[in-house]
Amino acid sequence: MSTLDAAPATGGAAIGSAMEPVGQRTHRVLAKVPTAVLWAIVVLWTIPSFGLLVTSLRPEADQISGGWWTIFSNPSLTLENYDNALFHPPGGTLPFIDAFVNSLAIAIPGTVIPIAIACAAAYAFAWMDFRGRHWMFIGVLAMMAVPVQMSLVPLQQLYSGGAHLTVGGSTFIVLPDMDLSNKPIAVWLAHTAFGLPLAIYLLHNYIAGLPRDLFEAARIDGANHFGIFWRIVLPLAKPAIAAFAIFQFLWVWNDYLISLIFLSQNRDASPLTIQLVNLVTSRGQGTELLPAAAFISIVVPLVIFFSLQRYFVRGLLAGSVKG
Amino acid sequence: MGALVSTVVNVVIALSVAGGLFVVLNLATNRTSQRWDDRLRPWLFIGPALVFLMIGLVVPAVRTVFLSFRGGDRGDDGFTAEHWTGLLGNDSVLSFDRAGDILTSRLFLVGVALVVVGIVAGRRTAGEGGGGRIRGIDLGNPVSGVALSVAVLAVLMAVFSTLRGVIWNNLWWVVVVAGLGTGFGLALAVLADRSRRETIAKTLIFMPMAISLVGAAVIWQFVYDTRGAGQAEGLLNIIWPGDQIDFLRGTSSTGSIAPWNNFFIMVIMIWIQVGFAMVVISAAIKGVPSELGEAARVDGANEVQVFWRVTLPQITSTILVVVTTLTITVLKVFDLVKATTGGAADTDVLANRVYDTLQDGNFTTSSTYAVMILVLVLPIMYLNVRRNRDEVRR
Repeated sequence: MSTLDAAPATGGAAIGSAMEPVGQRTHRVLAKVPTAVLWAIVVLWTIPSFGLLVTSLRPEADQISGGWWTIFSNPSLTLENYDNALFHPPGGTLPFIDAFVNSLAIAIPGTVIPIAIACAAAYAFAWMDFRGRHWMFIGVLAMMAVPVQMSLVPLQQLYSGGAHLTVGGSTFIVLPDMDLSNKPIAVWLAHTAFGLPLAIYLLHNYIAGLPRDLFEAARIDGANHFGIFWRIVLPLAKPAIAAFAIFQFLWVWNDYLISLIFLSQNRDASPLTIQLVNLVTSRGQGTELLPAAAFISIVVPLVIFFSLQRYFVRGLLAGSVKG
Repeated sequence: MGALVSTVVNVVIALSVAGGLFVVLNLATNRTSQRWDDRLRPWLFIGPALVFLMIGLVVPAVRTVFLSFRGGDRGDDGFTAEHWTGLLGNDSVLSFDRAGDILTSRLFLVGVALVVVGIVAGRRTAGEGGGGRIRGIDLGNPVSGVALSVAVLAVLMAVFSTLRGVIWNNLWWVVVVAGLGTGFGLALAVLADRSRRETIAKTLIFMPMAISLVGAAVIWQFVYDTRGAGQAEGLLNIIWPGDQIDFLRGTSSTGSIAPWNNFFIMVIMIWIQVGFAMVVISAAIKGVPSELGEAARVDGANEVQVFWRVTLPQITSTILVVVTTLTITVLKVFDLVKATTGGAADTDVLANRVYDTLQDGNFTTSSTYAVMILVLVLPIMYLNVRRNRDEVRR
């Protein structure tokens, strides 16, 4: 307003030229509002994780006396929490280095095996003719959204007693009791089944999009389905395989429910997520290790996320409908 | 380390055996006549997948439905609907006791007020072209569009936060996370679209997506904590002007904020899922042909009008995909509730009931809760299959 009030003193001609910069300045300020809002949200979104990272590096006494922001008045950082969480946790808790290895032992087979199975099935759905192909594929699509909860009770029974079928008073053993309960294989076998619909869907979309000429040329050269699959389809489908692999690996690594149900009785084989929740619920003992433990459990996903972001986003966008 | 080595060795052995078998069977099929080749080969390729899908998904799903209609904990006592009638008549699952309070709740009144605002604003511009229109109300008008969407959210939240029981709670989760998550995602996509360094901003907002729900629960516990023995207060209690509140359990020295403690658990889910909504919607916005916007601008439309009347109608189907995806995710929510409150303090959800009853060895009740989730997911599943089938046909 002061500009406008002062304007008449300098004469009419000046009003126009004084008004112009004010209008432009207002416009320039207003134009920056969306960007400012965006970055404010970015900061808001990052603060919780940042706060946990800082807390994880503070000695126990400092953690108790004040939140992470007191680091600015009381700066002291230590790696002791990480050392304790990894190697010397409070009594009864599995060292997190072991839980880390257990997570890998579940996530690696839980990723590799569904990929191998799904590649073959996706190729068949895309390029082979057989009866019921269309309806089976629709069935696979429908299964993507079926909640995993629908499988928990029967799989629990299968793992701990096998499957039986009683017809007219006599009982047949369909699948024997293989004593898989509370072993890692129970978890990654379940993840294999749960991951398959999405894997088939993603890989099918990609493989079905490969140019038809490619297959016809290979046919003319005398290649059969198996040769085409092995030498042409698999190498070409690498981007889709990578996208699904990252998605599935993180899904299994981050999973809590399935390990909790099929593995929670076996402390020595339990993965990071279970150990982390155990530490949460046993608060009082080892509370100071909780932030460090949480970071140990999310460091692998974060590394994958930042290094392979392109594939991650692709897999996530395509796979967001997983049940 | 031993566990990892032995697992990897076992996996390599299993894969080699299975892969070897696959190769041998394929080579064997190569030697058969063309007719048999065509018949056998597809089953070699989809066979392993079918076995896993049958054992892991199809048969269990059928059995779970079967168990939900059986008597006894293990389903040995013949057919009965007692679990269904028992659970649906149980106040902790589905209660209508406070239905009368909905009409007087503040959220409901706000919703009604916004409906009026939306209708008035929409009527005024009803003559203008472009955008969706329902009964003469112009949804392409920003005021009416925003007012009506917020009004729907407010009314639904009023209903589901007043009625109590795990089913209502699950639906409340859907409304809050799918509604607010998609809304924020859309807003952020628009904001980021106009900004330099767009990728950095998007990456940071998207990052929580990589973190496990259990990890996210720990992260937010340190935001919501109250000051107590052996722990400092969280950031939110520093900012909060009144008495300290345990935002997760809803307790404070002056009373309880229940059931709104649920909302603070839902915030964690929104924190995670907004990045997903943003990335998907942002990709859709970039896919809208720029000629459409140019043409509208030539006709004298301003930026706001271009967005509401040109861009938004073009990305409606993408927004629907985001909403359905979030809905499916949220209906199964378990980890967050388990890791924050364990289902106590009025925060229980269906998936947690599935787990609790399964742990108790009550397989039939657990199955009934699981089928309840399925029933809520079914409409979404139908939409998804229909959409995908159209794509496959094309």
